[in-house]
Amino acid sequence: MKFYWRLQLLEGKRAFRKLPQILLGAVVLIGIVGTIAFCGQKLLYQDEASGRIQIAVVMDGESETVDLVLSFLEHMETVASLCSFTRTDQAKGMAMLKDGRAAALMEVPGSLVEDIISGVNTPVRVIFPKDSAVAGSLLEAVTSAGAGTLASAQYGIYAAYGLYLNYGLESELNQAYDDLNRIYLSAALNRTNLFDNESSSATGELNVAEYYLASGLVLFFLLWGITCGSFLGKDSLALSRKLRAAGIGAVKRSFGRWLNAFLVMAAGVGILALLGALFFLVWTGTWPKELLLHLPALLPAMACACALTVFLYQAAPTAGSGVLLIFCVAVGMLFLAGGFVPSAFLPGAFHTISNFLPVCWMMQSAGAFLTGEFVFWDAAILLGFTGIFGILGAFFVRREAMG
Amino acid sequence: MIKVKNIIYSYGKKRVLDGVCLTAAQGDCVAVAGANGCGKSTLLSLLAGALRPQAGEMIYGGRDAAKEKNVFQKMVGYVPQDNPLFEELTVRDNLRLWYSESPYSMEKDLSSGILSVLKLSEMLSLRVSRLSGGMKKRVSIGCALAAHPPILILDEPSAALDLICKEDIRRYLTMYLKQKGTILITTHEEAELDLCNRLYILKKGKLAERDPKLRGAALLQELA
Repeated sequence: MKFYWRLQLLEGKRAFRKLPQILLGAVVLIGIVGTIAFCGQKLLYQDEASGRIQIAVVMDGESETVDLVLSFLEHMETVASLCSFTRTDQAKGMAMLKDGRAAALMEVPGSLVEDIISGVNTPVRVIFPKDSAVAGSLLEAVTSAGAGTLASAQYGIYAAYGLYLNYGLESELNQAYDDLNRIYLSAALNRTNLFDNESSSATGELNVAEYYLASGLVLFFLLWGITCGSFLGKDSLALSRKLRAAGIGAVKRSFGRWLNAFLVMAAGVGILALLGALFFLVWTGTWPKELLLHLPALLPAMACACALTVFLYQAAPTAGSGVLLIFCVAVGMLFLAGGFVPSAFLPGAFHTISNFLPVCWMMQSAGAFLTGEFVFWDAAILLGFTGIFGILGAFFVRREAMG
Repeated sequence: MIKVKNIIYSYGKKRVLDGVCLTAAQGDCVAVAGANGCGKSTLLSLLAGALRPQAGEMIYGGRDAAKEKNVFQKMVGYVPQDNPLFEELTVRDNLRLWYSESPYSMEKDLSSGILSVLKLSEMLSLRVSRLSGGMKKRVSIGCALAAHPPILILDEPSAALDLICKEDIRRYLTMYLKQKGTILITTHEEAELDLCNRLYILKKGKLAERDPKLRGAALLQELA
């Protein structure tokens, strides 16, 4: 057998011997990643991610008609799917707003319905917290936009009203007023007549849970290398020179390390996926066949993560500093690529930078695993990054051997 | 067996070897002496094929090392100053890596062949990380000799070893020379210098041949 393959077998033996420890480390990593995902979800959407937006409602006095309006609002399908209304008093409402239990506080005058009927514009005051979360901000924006739309409609009606008076058409005024109201409001409120509807989300095509699962998978791949320091760390100068004398140059050595890391990671991920699937089967009674079939979509991300790990271990002066470097690079890149907070909420420059980071494409690869929508181009880019890290790793192996 | 001409090697701007020439015939034991940091290990790394010279010619058994790919692998066994071993693996695994023949012939060689002097068969199942410095050195030599090379290059093989270990290694080197092997060695041990029939002194990048019987104050004067 050729020397190189004997070396590979030996390295493989060294690596697979560590597999139980690596899997144990992986379980700890999954715990960390799960915590990060949970915190991220909380940070991003607070309680609204798992429930609806809470709105505190304060009413002046008791009024059956206002109760009727509130009940009508609560039962509207679009509102009911998003908001829950809690009737309270002013002090409690403000307290709810301050401690984040309510995304907004509505102050409804007792005479609201009567005023609408008699044509008086009685405003409903809506108070938002200063440091409102994303949902609060969105609600604020939507409310402002709605108020603006209504105000524009009203300006139009008042302009036409004034025009009729100027031309002495008082007799036509009431009919014109009613018609304008109807036309303006039907156009302004039924916006589907005027605009196309397009849903957009900070997390792209993935829902929040999928997004953080993808982000967690990428972080898991990147941090996996921490548990592999014993066989991915640098060779001693003596060993690297002896291997070089035996014809194992930097490229062969670097490729061998990557191959071992990749095989161990593939085996580990396979085992963890099977365990996860078994757990899912016991928990839900269904075998997640489709998800298991999507596993190959993760291979490009795994290949890239392994190449990055090998490179970082060779670039770091010691295995210990390699671990630290892997951690910093993984967390830094994932943050820039929107793995912790979606890039929609980060400065635009971050989004531009993230396109040049492998993590961005690893997220796509992890997303493809979850959705089953594999994109060849994403995989090709990841393989390109794998090659670049491989070359960089080989450069450092060579530099080390040359002393 | 070995002809080296005008070897040049630099680390950055610092020239460590400046036109080094060296010859060794079959059965020769050549010692290279010099002060610490003078470039002895670099020279041996070059001679073993671990480093490539920036200029010069290296002929092994009539074959040009620069032109033929496998010259070093086939002809040279190299024992670096530090141990080139996989610490997490056993002695057997480490030896198998360098042994091109079957595992059976390896075991036979270790128990009754020339390598039996190194007493490796007793520690085959032990992990290298659990071995003492002397035991590791024996394993390193065992690895270097696994392919039965005609040339053995040793970089201070006895450094920091106990007397028994030094004696075992010396005995082994004597046997190797009797079998017409060629040895290139850097050493500070007089017992190992006594094995050598040729002596080179490396000073300021230049290699000069001296009387192999040179010892004590005279040798120190040459080195200074």
